[in-house]
Amino acid sequence: MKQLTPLVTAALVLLGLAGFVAFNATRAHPGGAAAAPPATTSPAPVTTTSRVAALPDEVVYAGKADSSKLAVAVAVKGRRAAAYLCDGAREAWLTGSAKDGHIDVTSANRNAGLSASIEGDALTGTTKLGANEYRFTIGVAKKPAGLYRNKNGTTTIGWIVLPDGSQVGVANTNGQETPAPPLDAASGTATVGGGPVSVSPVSGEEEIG
Amino acid sequence: MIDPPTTPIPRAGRATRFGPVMVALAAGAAVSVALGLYAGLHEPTGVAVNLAGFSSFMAVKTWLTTVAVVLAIGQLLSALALFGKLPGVSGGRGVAALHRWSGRLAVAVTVPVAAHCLFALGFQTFDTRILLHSLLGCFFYGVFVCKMLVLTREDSPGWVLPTVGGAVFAAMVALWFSSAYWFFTTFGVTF
Repeated sequence: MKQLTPLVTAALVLLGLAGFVAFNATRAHPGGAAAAPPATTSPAPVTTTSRVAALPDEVVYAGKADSSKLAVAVAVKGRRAAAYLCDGAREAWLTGSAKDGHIDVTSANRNAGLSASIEGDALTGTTKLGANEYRFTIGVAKKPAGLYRNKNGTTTIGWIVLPDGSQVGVANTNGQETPAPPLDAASGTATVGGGPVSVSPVSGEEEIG
Repeated sequence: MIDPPTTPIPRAGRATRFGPVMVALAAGAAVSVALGLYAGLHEPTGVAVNLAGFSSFMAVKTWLTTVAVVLAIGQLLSALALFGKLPGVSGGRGVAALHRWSGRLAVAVTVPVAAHCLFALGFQTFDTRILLHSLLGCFFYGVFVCKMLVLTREDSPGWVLPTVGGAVFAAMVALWFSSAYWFFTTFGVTF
């Protein structure tokens, strides 16, 4: 008599593997795999010929993209990174990985991406917001400069405080983008809807949902 | 009235066939190639569903892989007992059942780990550890499927099962060294 139980075991393992991957696929892309954009929309990878520098364990970079009003902030913690792109009218939150001096983050809907590598105290790379691509070289942001976020019900507000103290921010309510109220970065407060709200700095571990 | 034979015919003295082993090897190779192709072509997402209670999915993976490698060492010992190579232990039905169930558990705990690798990270080649780990991960499930297929036959040459089983064990240990051992030595023994 042939033993068939090992066949069942092998089939269950492969089905389990496929099941886990499929479960992840449905969770990570609400629209399913078919809704994923073609590979050409992903941000251009940044290649460096220099030696790869190690990323500091926790750091925030902030600055403007090259010859653009788009502000870029990237927060790194350990092997995770979160980033925010904002020009005062359009914005995107991105999350992803920081590994071996390289940062790769994308927005949940895959409309925005950022790929960068650390070079000395600067972060250099490219980013994509909608149909536009930007290059940037930004420096380390020392507090109160940095990246801030407030989530209050259906409204999410993001601020980038640049090293010169200027702010760029957008409040997003169910996809409706309006200019952000001024942020007092030193005390971490802003006035939203007539009342004060507390605003926290964003670390690389931020869950953007 | 004559009952049909229900016990397997003893292996000794029977002609062995290598054809089915070739089929098993081909099936295993197909699984490895399929996994490699998926991992290479699917754009890695960097994130996947996390498990509560751990600092990161890296830590979850590290501990699941460690459980798997400990069970794999148990697999090696129980297999030695089944083949009568472990002094003082005779391989009875209990050992066979232990080998089977701990083996199933060992492979089962690797499944969420491998799914995360395949989905979030993909097949990568940017350093030797990562390349070896990618290759070994694809190899592991291929050789595992091969071993399961070999088990369904009673007429394989005697050396086939220990060889394929040994390959599964070696791949598991090498996968642990290229991932969990690296994680523990890089980040410390953390949860």
